[in-house]
Amino acid sequence: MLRNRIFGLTFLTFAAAAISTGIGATSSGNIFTLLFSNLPPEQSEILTSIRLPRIATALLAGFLIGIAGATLQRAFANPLAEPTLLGTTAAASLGSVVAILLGASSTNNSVTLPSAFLIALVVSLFTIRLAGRINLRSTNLIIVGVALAAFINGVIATIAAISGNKEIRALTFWTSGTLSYSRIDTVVLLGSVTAVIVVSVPYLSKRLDLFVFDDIQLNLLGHSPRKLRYISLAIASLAVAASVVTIGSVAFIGLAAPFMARALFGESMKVSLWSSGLFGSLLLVISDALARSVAAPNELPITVVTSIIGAPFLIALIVGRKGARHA
Amino acid sequence: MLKVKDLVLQFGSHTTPLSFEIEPGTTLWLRGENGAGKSTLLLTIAGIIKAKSGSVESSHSAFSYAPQKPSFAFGLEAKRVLELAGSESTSPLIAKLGIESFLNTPVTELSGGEAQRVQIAIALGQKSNYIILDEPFASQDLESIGRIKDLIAEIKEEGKAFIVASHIAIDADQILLLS
Repeated sequence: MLRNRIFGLTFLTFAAAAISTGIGATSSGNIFTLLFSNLPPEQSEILTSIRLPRIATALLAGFLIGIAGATLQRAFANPLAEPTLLGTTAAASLGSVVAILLGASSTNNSVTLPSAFLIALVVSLFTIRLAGRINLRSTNLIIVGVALAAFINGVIATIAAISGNKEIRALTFWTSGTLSYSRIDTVVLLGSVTAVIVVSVPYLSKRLDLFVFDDIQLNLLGHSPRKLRYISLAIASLAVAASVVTIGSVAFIGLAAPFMARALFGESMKVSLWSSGLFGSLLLVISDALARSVAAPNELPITVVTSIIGAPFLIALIVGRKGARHA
Repeated sequence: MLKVKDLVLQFGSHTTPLSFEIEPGTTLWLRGENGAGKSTLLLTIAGIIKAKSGSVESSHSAFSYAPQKPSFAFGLEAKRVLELAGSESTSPLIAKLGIESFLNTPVTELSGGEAQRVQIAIALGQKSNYIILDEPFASQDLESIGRIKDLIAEIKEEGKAFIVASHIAIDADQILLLS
């Protein structure tokens, strides 16, 4: 109970600090002022049209990435599995680019989201079929995923270079991510997908815990491991697709958030799936605040920040795993 | 009734076709040297591995299985693992196998013997007609071996059939030697 309170308090503190960070500084006290009284028009405009949609986008997209990371880690039985490292994020980016290339507007999320979801799901299913030939729990899976992501990102870069389609936003959006396109409709889209994911969390958490058993045991207990993985991948792909069409590619949050959740709340997904989402929100809000403030008035791509924090974290995890194996 | 007819295994040094029957409420003790194909036979009977040739027929197809080496993928508490398998952590089975003391311990932190007892509890707690145990005494102390043997005898009385691969002798209705 104490851990939950500390977590909740930390979460709120960082969210308030992030809202007050950036161009046209607005003190966190003003958030509450806004709720009960009038702000100067300029500050009110910054807060309602820019800052709040951006914070809401970070909270919702971070939640979805955290849930996707936790889900993929269980479905692949690999604590290093993560949407960007498995190629799921790159696949969703490719799905969006293909939709735009075929004539959809980059802001028409009702077309780009299904396309991103479909390609992300197909690539996830391909990866898991491929992973069936190697050890799911090994770092080989990550090497395959990284290679797949590099290949897909190469395809996206080629499409961006030769298509001349102005609707395909700057390449950095697909490879490095940004929250600067956050608007009310972005929040509505992410909110809708988050509602679907939230409804599925109780169902999903039990199924993800079932992966504690190997496939033989699952079959004998009356569960289909393949069906369990496909359901998990579909939910993770939807979450990743929604985040990609709204904020682009963001690395490492899907790795770090579930790790932090498990460290704090234990391995059972009954609690850790929710907290993976909330840690994802927290990490993305903090990363965005840093991206806006470190080189102000310029803004860093979000993945630059998450990579600087996340890459050493990943290396430490891998070295830790190798150390554990040799112990 | 389980009927195994002219079964030739995919793996293992035993190449002669196997034929035997297991009646409800009986125990088959499976013996043989390491590498003979005992585990392969158990998984073939359960339908997990395909046989090279021959058939396994049963009037009821529900099997439960406890492997020699449990392979839990991550550290859920033993209580949660039992719950996921449909076994109640308050069942008398848990007490008889001496599991209560580590119900709240992550399964990846259990000793080999403790983790194996969790797997045995899962197998014994299923509503299956055939219970397959692969070397259930391999990592157990003498007290636990006695407890598991008592449980096999007790559950057998309920009409369930056991197929037990073991280097340690058990009270069996028939013995099958793989060579």
